[in-house]
Amino acid sequence: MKKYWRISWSYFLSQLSFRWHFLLGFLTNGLGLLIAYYMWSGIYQSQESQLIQGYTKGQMLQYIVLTNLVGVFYSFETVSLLSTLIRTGKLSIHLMRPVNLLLELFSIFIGGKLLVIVLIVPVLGGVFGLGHSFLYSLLLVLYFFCNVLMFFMVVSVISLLGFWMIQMWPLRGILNVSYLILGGLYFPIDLFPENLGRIMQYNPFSLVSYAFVRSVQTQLPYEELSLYLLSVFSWTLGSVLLWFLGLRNGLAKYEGMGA
Amino acid sequence: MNWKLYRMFVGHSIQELLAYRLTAVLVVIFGLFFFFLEILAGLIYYQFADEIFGWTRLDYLSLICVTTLISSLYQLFFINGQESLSELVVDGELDYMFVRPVNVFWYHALYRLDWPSSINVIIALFVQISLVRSIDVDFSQLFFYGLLVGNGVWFLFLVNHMVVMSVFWLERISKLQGLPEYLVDLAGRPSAIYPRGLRWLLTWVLPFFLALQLPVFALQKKVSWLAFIWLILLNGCLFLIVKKLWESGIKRYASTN
Repeated sequence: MKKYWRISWSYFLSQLSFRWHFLLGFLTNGLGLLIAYYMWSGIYQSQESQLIQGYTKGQMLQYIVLTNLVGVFYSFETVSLLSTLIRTGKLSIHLMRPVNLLLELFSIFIGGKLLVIVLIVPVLGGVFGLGHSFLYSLLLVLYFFCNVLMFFMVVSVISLLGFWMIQMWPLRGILNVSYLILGGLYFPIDLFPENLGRIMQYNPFSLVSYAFVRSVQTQLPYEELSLYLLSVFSWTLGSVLLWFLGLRNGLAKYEGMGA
Repeated sequence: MNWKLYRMFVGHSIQELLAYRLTAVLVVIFGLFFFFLEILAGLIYYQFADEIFGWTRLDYLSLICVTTLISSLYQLFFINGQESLSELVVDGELDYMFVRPVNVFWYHALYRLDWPSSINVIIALFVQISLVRSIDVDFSQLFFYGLLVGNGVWFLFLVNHMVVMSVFWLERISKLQGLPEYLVDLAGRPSAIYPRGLRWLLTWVLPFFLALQLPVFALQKKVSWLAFIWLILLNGCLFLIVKKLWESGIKRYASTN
């Protein structure tokens, strides 16, 4: 356990020395937030009714701010990281070390988020102030941590594609756009046609973003929240299985030569 | 620079494209994804309002087409050259270009095409044409539209070139390089939604709104001559500045890494 914590910590420190890079990432998120915020504020000012699909203007803007804020947690660095290791052949070194590759990647993922966690804890604290019951707030915290784990696992499985593809950067672009739309960062998922929206909210990106923010904004019935939690568990379990399967196949193909 | 040389660049770019097929396919998917997300978002936004600060749904969708068209055309012709410049300068590899008997400025700006972007150009053009068919436009408007799109591409090239050339003076510019892209993102939504100060800044001082949104106004015959003349003037000035920067830049260039 200690060695993994060390990986996280050293990654966190190295991130501190690239402050600009970090700030830039923040700026990108901030810009998306700015655009979505003004767009929705314009829509509410241009129409007569006060409600859009049950959202008041205040709720919608709060939704936009929260999804963009939560989005800071979820990024796709793991894809570039693993694919670089595979392409350069450096993966061999990591395989020889007495650490588990998956746990190592997870430590790096968490290390990259430590700074964000420090910044976002006050916001999470504010969640308790939203008037949820104690049990519900506790479930929300649990939901959040499961989300982080699930998201990491899903992205790791996608990263395994690096065994079969040489250049992975376009994939990161695709993932970013998918996150914007499936996570509901431009508009909440329930604005999709009803049936489509109902199914779409259980995709991994929506679970960490739309569904989570929705359960933060209003106290959902426990059945609904547990359905979200259940989907998070299933996605986690499925991707853990896929990870081991994919890793075995990928390593069989891996040459360790560097291309 | 002459036509024959440019044809060779085109050929080289196609060969490069074929060497990285899967990457090219993914880049195309990425571009299409993004375009459709923007269109979809527009359709969703306009479910709830017929007009957003004077922008109809048609205007909004046209804006998406125009910004996609302009940035994809810019990428198609210029982005590869610009992306490589900083590396060439820092590594001192610009020498190989200077020994060639060509105009290095143009040689460098044009020497690779980014073919995957052309798919987005085609799709955006296609959607724009089907949008325009539903309204009444005459030939002069379309001509003006085309002119303004071309002007927008030229504007993006100049602005990005200015940013990229700062590499002659600064070493690590990767942070700066993203700046124009952010401003293009802002211009991808109707300018009317933004607060007045920001709108003014991006219309008259850094005219991203003019360069990227005027073609939409051309379709409605609402282009103000003042804006048009200002944009053309500014583009002219920018070009002179870029040329000057290039000349003093290569004087500073030391051909070592």
